[in-house]
Amino acid sequence: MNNKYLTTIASAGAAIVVLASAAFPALALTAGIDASASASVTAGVVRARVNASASTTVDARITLITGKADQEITRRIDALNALSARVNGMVKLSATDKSNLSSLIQTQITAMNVLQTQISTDATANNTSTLKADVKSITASYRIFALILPQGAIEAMSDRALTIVGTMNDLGTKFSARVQAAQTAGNNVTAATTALADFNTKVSDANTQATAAASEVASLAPDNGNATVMASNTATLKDARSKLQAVQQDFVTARVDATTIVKTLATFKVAASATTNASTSVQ
Amino acid sequence: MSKTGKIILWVVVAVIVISGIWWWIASSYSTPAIPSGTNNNPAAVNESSTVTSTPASYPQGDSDQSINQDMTSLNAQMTGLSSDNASVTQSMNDQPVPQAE
Repeated sequence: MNNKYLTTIASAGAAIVVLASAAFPALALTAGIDASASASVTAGVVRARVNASASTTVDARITLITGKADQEITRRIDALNALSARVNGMVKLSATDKSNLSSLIQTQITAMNVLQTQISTDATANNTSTLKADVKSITASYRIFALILPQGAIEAMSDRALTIVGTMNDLGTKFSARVQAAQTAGNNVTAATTALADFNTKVSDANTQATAAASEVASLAPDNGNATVMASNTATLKDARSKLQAVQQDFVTARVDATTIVKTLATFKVAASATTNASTSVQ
Repeated sequence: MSKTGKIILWVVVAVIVISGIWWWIASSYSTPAIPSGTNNNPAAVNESSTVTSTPASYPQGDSDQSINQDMTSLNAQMTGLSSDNASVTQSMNDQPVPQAE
């Protein structure tokens, strides 16, 4: 073989190596092929892959962060909107308490909407550092949400309880008149009177407890990271809830008393109204 | 008088006559004839009617129906109270969605 022939074969071999390295970079690396051209191509491909991989990882990370953040923010906004609607429907709560609660809720809804927009902007800009700050903000604001939500729910339940107290007081007045009329008619009203006394006691207690529950949570304020205030808030919320559970039990008992009274009165056949035939002839 | 003037005059006369007839008919039907010797005082009409009177000892609206309505309302309100109670419990056990760092 002459030199020219050998040179042609070597060049062809080098070209094959370069192409093979491009196609199978890992093979080129592990095989330890000593070819500068192939090394250069391999490094470029690996770098591109590393870059692509890094980019994919960042994108996935941002998607994960924004997904979780969005999930939490949407959950809070939905809960706050539902609470806001409930607060608007309250009838017994004082106008001041109602206004304060509505204001707190609306402030939180606005803050959540702003944060959601901020996160979307940061995600679009691939700004991971500000995204982290946004996530911290979500976590920090949870303590406010965790106060407002039960605070509002307790106020709402107290409001309904006081409405029920009103209905039961009306019923109590009617029962009293009916029992008195039955007694006047000569019926034995002992059972009805006992049930009515218990009914009135339960309604009165429910009134006291519901009023106290609403009152004690009305003044609660966010703890702003103060553990002592947080513990105090939690204790107050739990106390108010236990009061409302007592209220609910009072109502259940009063409802049973009411049924007893109605059934007892029915046995007396005391009519609420008397039907009379009147024949009038007026000249 | 021109032919057109005569036509207008006849039309005016016809309208007056028709209006007069219509007024006479309308007025004769709108005023019922009152037979003489009939006393229209309602208090003097003999009647036998069934009336419902509320005994003085019962407050206004204190009827079985009123109590039944209150009891029905009460049941609905107590169902609402149970729902409120569930909301209170749920709100106090709320857990945030864990955030990705």
